Amino acid sequence: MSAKQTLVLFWDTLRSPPTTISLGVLAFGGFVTGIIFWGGFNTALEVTNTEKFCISCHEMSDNVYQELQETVHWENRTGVRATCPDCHVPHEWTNKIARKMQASKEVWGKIFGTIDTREKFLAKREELARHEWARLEANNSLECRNCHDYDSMDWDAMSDEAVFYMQPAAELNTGCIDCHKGIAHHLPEPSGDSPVIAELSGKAARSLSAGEDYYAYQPVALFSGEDMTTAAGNLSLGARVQVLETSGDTVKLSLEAWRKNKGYGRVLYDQFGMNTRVAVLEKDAAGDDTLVNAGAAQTDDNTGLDWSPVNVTLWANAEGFVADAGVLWDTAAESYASGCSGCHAQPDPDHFTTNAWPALFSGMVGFTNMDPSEQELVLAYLQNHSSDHSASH
Amino acid sequence: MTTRRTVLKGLASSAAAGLLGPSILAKSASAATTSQGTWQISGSHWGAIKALIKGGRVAEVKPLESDPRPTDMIKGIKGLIYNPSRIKYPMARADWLDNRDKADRTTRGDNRFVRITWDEALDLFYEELERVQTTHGPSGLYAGATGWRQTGQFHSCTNHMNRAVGMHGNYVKKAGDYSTGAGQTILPYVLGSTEVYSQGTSWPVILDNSKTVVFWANDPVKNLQVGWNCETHESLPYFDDLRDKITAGEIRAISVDPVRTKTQNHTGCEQMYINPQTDVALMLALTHTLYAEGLHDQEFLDIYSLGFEPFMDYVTGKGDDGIEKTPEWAAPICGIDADRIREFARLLASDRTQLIFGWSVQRQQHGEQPYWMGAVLAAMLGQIGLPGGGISYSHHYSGVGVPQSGASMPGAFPLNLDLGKVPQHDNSDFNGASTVIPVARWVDMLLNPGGKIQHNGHDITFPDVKMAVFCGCNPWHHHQDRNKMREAFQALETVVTVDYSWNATCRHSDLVLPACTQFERNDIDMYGAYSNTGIVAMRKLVDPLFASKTDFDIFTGLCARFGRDKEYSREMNEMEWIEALYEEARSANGEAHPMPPFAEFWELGEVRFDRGEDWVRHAAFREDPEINALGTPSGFIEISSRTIGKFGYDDCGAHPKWMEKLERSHGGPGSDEYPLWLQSCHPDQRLHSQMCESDAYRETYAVQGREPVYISPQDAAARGISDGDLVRVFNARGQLLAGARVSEDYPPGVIRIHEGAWYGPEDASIGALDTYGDPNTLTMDVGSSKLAQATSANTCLAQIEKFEGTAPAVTAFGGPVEG
Amino acid sequence: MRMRSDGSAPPTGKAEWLSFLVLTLIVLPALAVIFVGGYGFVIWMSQIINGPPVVKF
Repeated sequence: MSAKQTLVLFWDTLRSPPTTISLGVLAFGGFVTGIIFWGGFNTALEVTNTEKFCISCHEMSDNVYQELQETVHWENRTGVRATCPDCHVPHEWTNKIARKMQASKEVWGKIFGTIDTREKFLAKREELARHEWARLEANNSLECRNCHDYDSMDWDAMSDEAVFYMQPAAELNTGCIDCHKGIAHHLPEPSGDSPVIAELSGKAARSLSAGEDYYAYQPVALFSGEDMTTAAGNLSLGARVQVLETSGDTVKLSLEAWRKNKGYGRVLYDQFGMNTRVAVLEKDAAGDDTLVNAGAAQTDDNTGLDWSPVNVTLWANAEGFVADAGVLWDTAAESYASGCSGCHAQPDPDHFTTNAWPALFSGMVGFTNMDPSEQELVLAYLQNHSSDHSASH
Repeated sequence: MTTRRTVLKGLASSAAAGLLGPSILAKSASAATTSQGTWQISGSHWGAIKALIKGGRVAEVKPLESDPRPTDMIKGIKGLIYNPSRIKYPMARADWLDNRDKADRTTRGDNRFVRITWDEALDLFYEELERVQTTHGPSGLYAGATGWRQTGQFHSCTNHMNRAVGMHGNYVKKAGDYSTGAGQTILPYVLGSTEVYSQGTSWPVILDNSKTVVFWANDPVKNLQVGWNCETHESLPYFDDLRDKITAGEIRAISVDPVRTKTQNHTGCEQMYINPQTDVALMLALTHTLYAEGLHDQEFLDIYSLGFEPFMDYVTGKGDDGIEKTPEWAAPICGIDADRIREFARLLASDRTQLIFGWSVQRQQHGEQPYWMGAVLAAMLGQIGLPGGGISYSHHYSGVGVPQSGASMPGAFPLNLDLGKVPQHDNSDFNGASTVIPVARWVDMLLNPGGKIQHNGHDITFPDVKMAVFCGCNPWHHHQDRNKMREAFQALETVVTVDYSWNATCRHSDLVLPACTQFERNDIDMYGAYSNTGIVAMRKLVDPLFASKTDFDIFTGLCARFGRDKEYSREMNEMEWIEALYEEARSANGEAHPMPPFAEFWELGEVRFDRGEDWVRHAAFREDPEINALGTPSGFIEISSRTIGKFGYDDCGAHPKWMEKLERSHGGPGSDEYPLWLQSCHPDQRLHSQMCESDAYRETYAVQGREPVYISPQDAAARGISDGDLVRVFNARGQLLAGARVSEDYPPGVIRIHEGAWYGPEDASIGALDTYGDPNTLTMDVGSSKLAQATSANTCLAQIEKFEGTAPAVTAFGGPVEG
Repeated sequence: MRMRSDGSAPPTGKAEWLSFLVLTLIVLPALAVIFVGGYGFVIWMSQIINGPPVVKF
């Protein structure tokens, strides 16, 4: 019998009412195999939802699993342990299934050795962590709340300090992960990123659209061409750019700025006569007329220096931008208020001019614990909110 | 303010702490108990100390063994705790207590007070704040004045007062300070930073590279005894190295100063005598010589500066005044031979020269000018940004020049309201008056409500202030012209002062609240304000004396009056705060600067970090002036400033200039009537006015119980004064009694009374004789210029005479008269 | 009643049993897994576009 004949016979058998098997046997047989199947399916699913399964890959068992064992979620006085899936796999069925499908990516990574060494893991850690933070921030720390609940907290049993931080969070129903990053595994190495920048990265624009304005929240590397090979400089924190085109992960940017006609014109400022830095270019890029289009010079009466308006067109990765400058300034204002009141009352930003702030800030910032990125952001905030930008002064 | 970030940092560190676990030390290091008593570690402006506690009292205080050059002032600390000037109880001015804002204000200063309870005192404080905010609004309250507070990051009383009063309502604040008001205003226009509080080139770099070191009106060996935080004195041994290099002929050091300074006596450096207040004239002549002889660095000026030409026109006589600023022109003004000026200019240009300016020359009329001129001189020498070259304005302050460890330091109790909180009286209507006043002009503000002055490109309108609050701040020492202040204080309906000792500010207050000293509370402090050498535990030595309380307790109590005490304290107690500040620094330092867990630190008494890297000021700017631009309007050194020029001020123009002073000795204005220049620089044996009340220690330098006035043998002989005589020092503004110290260190025409001597008027009248010797009884209260409006304390002439007759008793110390 | 495809004889009991077992033990379980997996995949893709599941408390 050929294969075709077999299939035809099978098909005909399926289409015909049974002749020899009773309805009862069919129903019962279908029912039993259904039960066995679903039980088996769920058992298999649950096997993949155990700690044992998770750490069967050395990627997990050598890295994150070791770190978990140092924490309170591993061992504590009440003897409750959180295992991998408790936090990392959604408990709700639909999302759980989606998460299981996502694991195909992990299988892929396992097969191709994406993080098969400690070094590769450390290099990837920040990216991996950000995925989990984004997920937990979006679901408002759902997996945490399967066990922890603001309503069940006994404020009297907590230390005063804990109450001080926890109560406002409860009032605002703040998600757990907002504060408790790094509670079960080590935090990513700061990779030069300051906590301020790390906080802002959570608010970064997910995708950039052509024609829209964006603000750099970290020093964004600029390139002379779409091939992204020739470095052209960096955007400064707080710099506003317009996206001209997007192509995959890269964007073509336009920057309207001013430069001083003394030196190589490497430093770009946001307005005529205002020392608010928006970009620092490489010498080659600064001198390239195809990238930097300069207008007619004007003399700044306050210094006697000539300034030219420039329109700069460059490329960058579509990372490191926020859509709303307010996000930057709120963060910077908080840093300024806390960092600059240790010794004295911090002056209002609009108490000084844009060009006075760099001098005052640099004279005192050594007394604070601000890291360089935070300093740059705070100075940009002060300059952008100086008396030159405020109607009241 | 604690943010989510700091929580995040804190959590990371608590996780790490759990890993390590607290180490239990077998032997406690910070509190060693012996048969004599218990030795405890603490910190202070004068350095880290060990105190012997015996029977609940501090029996002995000695410096920490590791202090390389402990100051003699450590001997005064015990007397700081135990002395008759301590404020024992809350007290109110008798007449004010009965009549409040309708009280007779002409009797303010008669020092008659009555004791009240803490509850009454805090109720009164709150009621007065409430009355002023309700009746006059925020422009009726001045609470901005701040001073050198006691050390300790948590109890920093300035922060406590600002937070608590700020929770109740808004108020008039101050800008600038009395130490560096002119310098910190002019230098941002010139060098792009305040400079006066900036870390300077490391001492080892200077010692290795400089061939000439110039101390311009600067006495670091005297002033480095004290620090803004717990002082390490690590900078002082470098002056021994300097002495050795001077002796070996490897470095020439020159002190440009009318007086032979402590630094000169210590290092054996040369002195370039100069008539007081004529530094700008000398520097102009130096630039003239440099230019005329082609010794200036034109290439440096072209690349790194702007505005050299208009300035040089002024120097070469092409300016408005048509005067060429030759050495011959400067010689009679400065009292220096013209050839010597030329030689000095050549010396400066001959090899690597480090200029180091003190603050005294900017605490005078036109005090902006010598600082600007210093920068111009340094720019012409072209060594700014080179190792051991260029200019510094800070090497005499708080250990500047000791390389910074790079470690993060503990923060402080928040000065601000917590994020999103608003004051009880959320009123920002200042009736059209300015909200911030240049600090040295606040007495003018009291005398002239609604008046207008110019300040740094703005117009200031004086508010009508009815009430003032001072905390850890003694304006009756640091402000000028006591008798003017007495008149001005009659405008104030209510003055509240929180302090630990009964200084002249308490005497002129209506309500006085006793804080305890820093030795009566637990705290934490950075060890080395600039070096960040470590962190020191300030363990309470004894309980608060009498009825005194910590500032934290006092202001928590005040906030309870309007129901915001929990918000104020965040429901944390002293030790919880200290631990939180420590742990925040610990997590910020992470692996880079490891710190033990808090419990271990508290037992050890201190944590130390590795020494930092040597560093050169302005080196980054020199390396790339475009990318590392200065903070000036142009980004370059501004030898002329168009920005300042556009303000159109007659007393501070577009480039530095020589301007005659209202009073100047050695033939200057007013010197025929009052021939002696009174300098009131920072004391050698106090920290400003702190420790003046430490009786036994004061007796080691006082003369017949009075503050010493230093005078030259020539001036003393001409007036029949011998060393140890009681003398009256006077001018048209006031008069004081002091004890003569005749010293070869002083030239004719120059006398010195250290600032910080407590004001002890004979009675409450305006013009009363000061019985102890506060130099600010005599100084002039005018702004340095319309730019900075800073203090002009060192523009002051006086006359001196031997005091005959029965001297009145010293009234400065011992607290109020009760009843 | 419709005609058989090739007009052949009705299926035997053996063929019926075989078909029943193939259907219940192989085809339908495989379809179920594909369907569930596909559903999960669709959710995943939708999350990539719309962001992770948002839950408000």
